This record gives sequence, C-alpha cells and structure tokens, in this order.
Amino acid sequence: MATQPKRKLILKVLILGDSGVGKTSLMNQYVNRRFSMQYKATIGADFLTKELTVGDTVVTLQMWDTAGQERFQSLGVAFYRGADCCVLVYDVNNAKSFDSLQSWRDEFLLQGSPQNPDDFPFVVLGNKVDVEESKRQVTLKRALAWCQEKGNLQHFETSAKEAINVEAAFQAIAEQALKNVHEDVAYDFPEPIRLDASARNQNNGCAC
Amino acid sequence: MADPNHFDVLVLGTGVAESLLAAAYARKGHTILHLDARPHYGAASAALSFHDLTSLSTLGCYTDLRHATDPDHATWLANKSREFALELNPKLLYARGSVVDLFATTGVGRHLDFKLTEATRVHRGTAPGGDQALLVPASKEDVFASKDLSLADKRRLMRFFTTSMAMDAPPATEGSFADYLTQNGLTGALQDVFVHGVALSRTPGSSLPVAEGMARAHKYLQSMGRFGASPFLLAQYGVGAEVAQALCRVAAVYAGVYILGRPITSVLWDADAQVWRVKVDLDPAQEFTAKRLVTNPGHITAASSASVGAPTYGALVVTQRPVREDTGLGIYVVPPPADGEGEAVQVVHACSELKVCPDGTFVVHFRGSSEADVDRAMALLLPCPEDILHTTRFVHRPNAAGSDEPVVSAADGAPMTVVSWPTADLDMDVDLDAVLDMWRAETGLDTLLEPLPNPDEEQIVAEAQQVQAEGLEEPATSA
Repeated sequence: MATQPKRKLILKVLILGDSGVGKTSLMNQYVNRRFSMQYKATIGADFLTKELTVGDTVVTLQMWDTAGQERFQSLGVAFYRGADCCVLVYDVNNAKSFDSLQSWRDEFLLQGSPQNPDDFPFVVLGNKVDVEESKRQVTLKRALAWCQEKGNLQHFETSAKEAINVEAAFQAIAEQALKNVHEDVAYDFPEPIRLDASARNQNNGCAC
Repeated sequence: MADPNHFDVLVLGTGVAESLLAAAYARKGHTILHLDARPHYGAASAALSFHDLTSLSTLGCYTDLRHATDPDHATWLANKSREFALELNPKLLYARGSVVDLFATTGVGRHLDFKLTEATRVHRGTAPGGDQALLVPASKEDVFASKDLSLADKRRLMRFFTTSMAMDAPPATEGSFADYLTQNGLTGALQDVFVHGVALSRTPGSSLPVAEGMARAHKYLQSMGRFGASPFLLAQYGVGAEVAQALCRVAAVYAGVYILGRPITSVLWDADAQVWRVKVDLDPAQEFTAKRLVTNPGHITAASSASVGAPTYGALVVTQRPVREDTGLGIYVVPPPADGEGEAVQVVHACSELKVCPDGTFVVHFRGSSEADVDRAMALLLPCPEDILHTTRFVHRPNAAGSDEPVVSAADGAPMTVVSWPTADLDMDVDLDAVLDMWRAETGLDTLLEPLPNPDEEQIVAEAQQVQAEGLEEPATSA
C-alpha cells in the first residue's frame, strides 16, 4: 500500500450461529466475492480482514468465525473477548438455527463480558434467502419481532450464494462496530503486549 | 474424508502440552479429534472462577486442595466469582525464550495479551514485609539507582552482568554456582539476588551446577530490554488456559474437531482393527476411532506414567493488600533460611491488570519444596492475616496419574503419546521444550508449528482464494 493511514483502526467482529447457516460463506462472499457450494470448514484462515470506509473513517474489519468449534458448543471463553460487534446468523430455511440465536446472544454476553451488555451492538443476518420460498421456515416478520424485542437489533436477509445484501449487511456491521469503539470507556492500564509478526522484528538491544 | 468419525489423532485433555500437539498435528494436515470432559479449556492449567476453583479437591497433577475463605468475605467473593481467572501454576514467559519465539514466529501470539512484570525482588533477613526485599536489577539503571547497594557492590554487579552477557558458553568451571559467584566477589544478599532472582532457581546456589546457573542467568540477561526493562511476560486471564485456547483455535482452523464438556465413556485400543475406539456421550453416545492417542497422565494408569519428580507445595492467596503498594505484577523470592536446609520459595504476584481478579484484590501464588517453606514465605510477605480473603493450598505432584475419567491403560503396540504435566519451574519454556522433544522423537521434525498465515498480509488472501478455487465450478474472476 502506498500511503498508510495515520492510525489503522481494527474492528473485531465475531460471526456466531449454528453450524451450516453460512457464516464462513458470508465472510468469503464479502471479502473475496466468492461462493463455494462445498461445505467445509475454513482451513488456514484464522480470520478475514477487509478495509472499508465508514463516513470519513477508514477501518479494517477483522472477521472471526467459529472455526467449527461451535458444532459441539466448544468455543472457549478467549474467542468471545474483545469484540466490537457480534453478528448472529441463522438460516431462514431452518427454524432451529433461528431459535438458537437467543442462546448465542446469551453465551456471547456471558463469556465475552462486554462493558456495555445492555447496548452492545448485535447485527442479525437471516441467510440463504436464495432458496425457494416454499422451504422457508422463518418469516421476516418473526425475525423482525425478535430483533425488536432484543433492543431493536439491525436485521438483514442475505444470500451469500447470490451476494444479496451482503455488502449492505457488513457496512452496517462496520458502522455498529465503529460506534461501539467510540463509546468505549478509556482503559485504565497501558495496552497489553501482543506477540505477532511485529514482535519478530523487535530490537535486539539490551538494557545493559 | 471418507469416514467423518475416523481421525488420525485422538487428543484427550486440553492442557498446554496436549493442545500444542493437537495444533502441530492439525497444522501438518492430520485429522484430529480433541476431547475434554470438562466444559472449559486448559485441563490442569485451567483458569477457574472462584466458585469452580473452590469446588475442587484435585485438578490433574494438583492434589490435596484445601480451601479457606474468610467468612466475612465469602459472599462478596461468591458474587465476584466470575471476575476471577485462577490457575494454580502461573508460568512466566522469558522475553527471549522458546515460547515467546514460537508465538511471535507462528502468529499464535496474536490471540494473547501479555503484560511485563514490574519487578523481581528477593526478600532478605527475617523481618516481615515487602519493603525488606532487594530489587533484582532489570537494567543498568536499576543497578545505579539502587539504594540498597554499596558503590563497590554496584561495580561488581555491573562487571558480572557485562561478562555474563558476553559469554557464549558457560564458564568451564567445576563446582557450584555459589562458588563461582563468590569467586567473582558476589556474596551474601547479592549472591541470593543472583541465584534466586536472576537465575530464578529454587535450589540453593551451593547445590546448583555452575553451568545451569549461568545458563539461567544468561537467559534472564538476554531477555531484558526486549519489550521493556523486565525480562518476564505474564499472560492476561491465566497463561495456561489462554495458551491452550489459542493452540486449540489453530487446530480448529485446520479442521480439528472439538468436543468439550461431554462425558467420555470409554477409550479402548482395538488390536484387531488397529484403532483407538472412544465413546462420547453426545446424547446419544457416539463412537469415534483414531490411529493415535495423545493424552496427559490424568487419563492413564500410574503404571503407564513415566513422569517422575518430587512434589512441590503451593498456595494461592487472594488478598486485599499487595505485598508492596508500588507493585501490582511482580515476582518475589524468599531465599532458603541462612542457617538451615530448604529451598527458596517463589512467588508470583498478580493484580486486576492481569484480568485474573477483581479490582482491589491481588492473587499471590507461592511455590516451595515444603509446606513449612511456603508458610514461612507467606508470613514474611503477607504478615497481616486480616488482609487475606482466601487461601487455597495444594500439592503439585508431577508423577500424578489417573485423576481423570476414563483411565486408559497402555496396550502393547498401541500408538500413544503421554505428555508430561506442567512442571513446577516458573519458566514455561521448560514445558514447551519437553513437548518439542516428544514431537521430534515421534515425527523426526524439528519444527513443531509452521508459521500460520497472517490474514493481514495480502499474500494470504491469495492463498485463501486458491484453496477456495478448488471448490468452484466457474473460473475465478478477480474483483
């Protein structure tokens, strides 16, 4: 990249929902503009990132999905921490996946312990609207009622396969996440140290 | 995969060592099934809520847990239970050690947040109180600024620091580390600072071989200044459980299957089919098979355990007053008594900045070679009983086996790897190096974990696209 923004704002977004609702497909469609019919866990990608502009701020969305650990409810507490926005995904053709949203939301609030549990930003996505209408099990009305009840959560019906509403949904997710960052309470302690690629080049100097 | 219920490796237990191997195997393309009957990651290294910790009498290699809570604060502690992340054996990461190296080069470290310790101090004398402790220098400035050292001592210390730093190999000197330090003019309290502070040895300097003492001191000196003056990093939320979760995430990203919190009803070697058969209660029970088993000593009979070692005695104290007001995250050492037998007691002192306890409380971990040593250290560093909210005492038995159901007995010819429990050494590298040796012996590979793709780097996006392209019918078009 030719020019670096003064400070890169990274927004961490968690994508939660039952197995097979299309979490990885949504991310891939958004980031890579691709869709694969094959169902498989994302191999080798810990998270996906995409840079976008919200208002006049350039942000990097860092999207984390469950890497299959949701299948037997085996996500560790560490996974939930530090999120700026949480995306709850269900399959409009699978009522059970919609019913699970409640427990995904509760689990996130319990494990992630966000500082603002009452108004932490969730965005709800009803995926797979490309499937024929006769297979639909969750009506838009029912989904909207639930979102309303949970504090007027933003809701989109999407198709990762046909790229319907995916761009709009993630734009909204970024807006919500950014809003949450702005509202973050100042941290009382210095930033913790991260051991990542940048630590590889840490100076060789010694205090002696 | 032909049979989704068959795996290359079955990993039982989510401790650090098991999780390292799970990540290593998965990264190499092996299919893995990773189980833990407990609902959380970490096995013996779990970071527990106050309630969960105080409900236990045994946790893997930690036995004889005895809990004592101040009745006046029991309700408060119960209400704050989830704000605690209590582990029994918190480990230190040397800034230039193998764990930090592994995390930095592979990218596993991006899942963890670390804090530098503020100071290491060695208690001296017999008077209680944190102000009786001598600061272990973590920089040249520390040496010069010290009010406890004479000018002559400062010069001796500086000279020794400089020569130790420049040393490529330990000095070819026979005898003990104490003898060697004496020869270099470092005696008395200054020698304690070196043996127990810089070299971070529990063993007295007189029983510590000079080569080992110098190797440990060298590592301390090398680690100073990398991330700040202090050579030590502590992980937030409890190092063992966080490291285990980061590694399990790696294994999951490489298609590892995770099942936690479900009873494991049996694990048996089927000699005819040459597979391990494991039954998990997924309501209904389901059977999986695997070619190889990796587990910790908790799941095997004592007879099959190769682990040895003397027990260590530990105490975890929750207090409302720090040992010293100026130090939240620190290491303290209480040297062996000048007149008698015994080893040093090592103390890890944590505050809410480490996210292991609520604001206004401190978690102080003691480890020593006897209950009496630990008592003595507790009396010296935490002299006011009215400040103490809770104490959990335990025995760390490195040779403990069979603590966790189901217990597997080693069968002839059954491919099985039994990792060691965490050691009592404060240095986490010791535990990692043991796993690395095991991995080398088994696979012939030197590298445990290849660097993970960094999603922030464009090259990786290309890689991801390539992987996806395999599943695409139409040719890939660039956006």
